[in-house]
Amino acid sequence: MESHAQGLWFVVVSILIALLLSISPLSPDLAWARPDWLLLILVYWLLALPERVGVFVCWLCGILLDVLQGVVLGQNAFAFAVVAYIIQVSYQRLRMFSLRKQAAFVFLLELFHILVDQWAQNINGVAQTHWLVFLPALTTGLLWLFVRPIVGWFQRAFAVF
Amino acid sequence: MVLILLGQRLDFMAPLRTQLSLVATPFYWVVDVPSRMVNQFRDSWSSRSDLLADNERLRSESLILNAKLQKYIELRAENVRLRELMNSSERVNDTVVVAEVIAVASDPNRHLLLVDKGSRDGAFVGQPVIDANGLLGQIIEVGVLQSRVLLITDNAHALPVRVSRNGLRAIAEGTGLIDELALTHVAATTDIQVGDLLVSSGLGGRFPSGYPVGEVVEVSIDPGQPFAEVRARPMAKLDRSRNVLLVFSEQKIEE
Repeated sequence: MESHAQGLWFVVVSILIALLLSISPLSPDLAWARPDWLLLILVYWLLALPERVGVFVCWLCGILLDVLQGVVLGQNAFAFAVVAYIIQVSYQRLRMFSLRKQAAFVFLLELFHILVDQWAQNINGVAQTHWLVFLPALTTGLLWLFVRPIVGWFQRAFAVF
Repeated sequence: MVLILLGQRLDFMAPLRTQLSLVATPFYWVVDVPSRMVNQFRDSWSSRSDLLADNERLRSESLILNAKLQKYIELRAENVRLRELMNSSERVNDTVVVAEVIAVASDPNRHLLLVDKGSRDGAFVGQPVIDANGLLGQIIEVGVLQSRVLLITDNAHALPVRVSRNGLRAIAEGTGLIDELALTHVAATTDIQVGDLLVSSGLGGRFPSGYPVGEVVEVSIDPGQPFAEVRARPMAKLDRSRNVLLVFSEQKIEE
């Protein structure tokens, strides 16, 4: 493993862009399908640089997202930390997966994230939920097919290791 | 990590959240850049004739409003006189502060707005928020520079209202739909009609009384049900207002 980090600024920038995208205004209909940008980016870096991006970084990003969205403090942080742990344990296997298999895996991770969100909100008194809240799982999974090649290209272009 | 989920519930996190919201400010500023750029672009490219027409329209509007105001002053005096006759207390004049909406909740399930006034400007939790047409919601979280407004249509929101025609009291609950309120526990024999104006009743002590809340659009009475199903449309343009007003009632300031 390399002792010195290289091009980590791109990791930070990509996470910031993901955060911005996750609070950018969308039309009401599209908002239901808003993909979970932060999860996509974090999963990418967890797979690509497991020694740099870990549970703590994901937890921190989750807290930041909680603050930005004004939701229950800790719900995203908890979900992302668990996601990070799952990937940390099994990234060597996940890297060997085909793109489509990975997308299915991202779909499951996002489903878990949504369930944690709903659970946290239900405990805090927001009772009614709509089935459409699960739509982002689908869009996030599909978007993985594009995010991995694109971010991968940038990673090579900026030599992030 | 689960501890944080629990900590949230124990209400000692509020000051921490106020500080944390400072972190969010630059993010929302950046996200708002495109819309501000579009606005600026449109402003600088609007033609002279457009501006003249706008000016003309605004001038005539102000004339009409002024004319209405004359009547209003007289009505106000009359109202005070009548209230004195009836020995009831005079309604306090509310002062308002204009705030700009900087974001809406990214979760389509919740009806929340983020406005650009925070504790530095005197905003407080529970403060009523209105727009030009009616009651909009209340502040549920105050940051230093921004605060979060819960709209009356959020399904976690309910407020006491009164039918302005006959003074009938009811509770208007949010339904999670941006253009709908539901009146709960209205007896099937109640005198309530489509077109009735609902105003805030002031009961509960959170909202000042007399602000328009909604208009009844549907009353369905099912003989099998103990209560009538009454739906109302909010008066405030919940999904359209860019500027909202934070209401400071004078009682609150005295406290």
